[in-house]
Amino acid sequence: MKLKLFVSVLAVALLAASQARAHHSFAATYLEDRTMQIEGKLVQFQFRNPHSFIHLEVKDEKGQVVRWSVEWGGAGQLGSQGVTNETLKYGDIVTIIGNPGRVAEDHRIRMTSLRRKSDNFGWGQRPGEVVN
Amino acid sequence: MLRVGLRALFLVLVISTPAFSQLNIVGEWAGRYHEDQGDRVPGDVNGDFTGVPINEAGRRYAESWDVRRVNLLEHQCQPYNLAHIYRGPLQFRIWEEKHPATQEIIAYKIFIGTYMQSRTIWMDGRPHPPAHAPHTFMGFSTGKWNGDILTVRTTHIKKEFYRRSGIPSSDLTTVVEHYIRHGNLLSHVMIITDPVYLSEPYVNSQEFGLMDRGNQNWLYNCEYKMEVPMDQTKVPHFLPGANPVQDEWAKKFGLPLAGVWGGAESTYPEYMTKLAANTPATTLRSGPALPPRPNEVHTEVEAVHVQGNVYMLVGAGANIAVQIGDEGVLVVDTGVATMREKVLAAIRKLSTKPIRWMINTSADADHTSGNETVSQAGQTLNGNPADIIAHEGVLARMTELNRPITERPLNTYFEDGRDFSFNGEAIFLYHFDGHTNGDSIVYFRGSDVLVAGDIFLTTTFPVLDLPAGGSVDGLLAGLNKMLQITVPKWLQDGGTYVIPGHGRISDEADVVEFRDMVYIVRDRIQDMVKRGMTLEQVKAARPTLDYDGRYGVESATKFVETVYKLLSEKK
Repeated sequence: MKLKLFVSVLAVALLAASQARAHHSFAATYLEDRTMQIEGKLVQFQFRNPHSFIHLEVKDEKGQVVRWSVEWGGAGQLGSQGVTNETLKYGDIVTIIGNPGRVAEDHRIRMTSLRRKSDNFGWGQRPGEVVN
Repeated sequence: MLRVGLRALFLVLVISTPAFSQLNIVGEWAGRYHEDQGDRVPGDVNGDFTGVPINEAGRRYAESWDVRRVNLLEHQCQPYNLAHIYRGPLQFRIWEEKHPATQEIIAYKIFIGTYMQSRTIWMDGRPHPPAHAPHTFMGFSTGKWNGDILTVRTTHIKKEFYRRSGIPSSDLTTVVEHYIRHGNLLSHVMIITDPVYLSEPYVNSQEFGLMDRGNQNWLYNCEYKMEVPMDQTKVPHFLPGANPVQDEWAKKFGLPLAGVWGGAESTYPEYMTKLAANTPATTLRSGPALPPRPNEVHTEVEAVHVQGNVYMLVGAGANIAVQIGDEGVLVVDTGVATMREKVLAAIRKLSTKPIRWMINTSADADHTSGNETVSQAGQTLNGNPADIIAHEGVLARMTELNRPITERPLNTYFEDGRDFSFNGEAIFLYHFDGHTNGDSIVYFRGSDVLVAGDIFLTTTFPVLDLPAGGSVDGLLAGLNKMLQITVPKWLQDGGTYVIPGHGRISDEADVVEFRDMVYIVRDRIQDMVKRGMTLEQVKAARPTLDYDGRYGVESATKFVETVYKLLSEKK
């Protein structure tokens, strides 16, 4: 029974890995040993392959609005976690925690967790809610 | 009596069974990842160049690789190529296509779950396509059984990578695969030969298990979008020596960088002695010299159907495009003088309708020396010889060179572009100062074929004709325009086809690699000019090193000289 469970978990992990491995290496794009937090208005939700992206308008220290790109999982991977293209909407105020991009001027972040202000909807806190 | 009957029946059955009986490899197969797990499943970190026999060109390419390049629209949805795809986690399905009468295997079909790639392995002895045929990510494969081993040879593979850390695989790669079945296991051995980026064959193997429940495939409905706001004409890359992450892998595992970069030498057991003696330095070998550029003037002119109404004529010097239809014939460029009658004959074989229009993409003799012959054989609606259209820079150049009036384009334009309709499709001309100051690219909208002239080549580095007003920035502008026009099909093969000035039929993936190369080499030379380096110093630094094996050292030298001159003058 244990072996069966292990095999199933392995199969799921490999399948997920096959989806995640595609496109590009996260380690090459993001500083995986650091985290940062941003909060802003959602202006675009690209629920798609190879990876989903959220664009946020975020105010910097000078009050200037900067567009941030938040990288998330592929549509297939997120779909298996219950995320759909209607999960997030234009205008949502969300807080994102994630790994910053290696090039600061790119204003990009790889999401590890999300929280929506209006209804406290969250992603990244429950087991399995990861982008790998 | 019964025994005799059974014997006879057995004989009949044996006789009617085909003489061949290959091992069955049909089924759904899934990877086993006990070997090279770190590389194959989670993927690599920056700077993992171990185990691949790269040469110095491969190393330079990988050093320059900035992963943000995959955020460019044209790169986002590109799948792994054949030399790479079996190294990732995957399932694949094999089935047979058999001749209905003889039941001989005509082909094996393979559907690879990762990136939804489809392959055909032809078993009927057909030859591989000619050099001018388009490439695809899975290439063109033929197979043969040797005992119980299926051996497959694949050519015409698009450029991609051996590993996502930036180790490139070129479009001159040949892959030989061996499929060996042991019960419910399938061993897959790949022997990859790449004259551009490998100093010796790259051999790897994978194991696959037969699946009872198949179809666990990844549906790759990839959609390219602006993921990160960035200038799509700027190609992310690192200047030589400036890659900040290239030693991450070495540091992570406490390996000497020289060993990680070691190429072929570091893949042999003897290298352990060097490591133990703390003398891990290796010398990466250069790739073998590229064979001389094939003669583009053949004994005969061959017409190749590209798409829709458009054909490419091969064998008369520069490539020629011919559009045919109810209204007549349009010809883009006319080749060298010695082949002009054969060019005309080839056009006449495609259509006997009148040649109405001609277009010259530049004034170069290898593109325009058949002008008079083709024009005189044609007729406009007004009864004149076929009209030759070109940017006025072409007319100026031909006049300067005292080319006969009958060869010159008298229907010129000076603006950024023009368009007209012929044979039921819109035709667009766009002007750029690229190879010369009179370059045009020509887009057939209905056929979805783009004729690039010498702004895009697959045989050499770009040729910037400075006396004729060539410009590297103009060339890049032309290539970027081409990338705006080209739209790949789903899964990134085909879609808009591109006829280069010289070389094989291409698509967007080929153009973007060429654009990236021009951009990167220009940036490197620009940096050297800024640092006050002389031309000799720049040449010695080999700013084209990673592309020399692909486009040739001779044309590299000229390219570097002309770019250096242009950028020095701008300084």
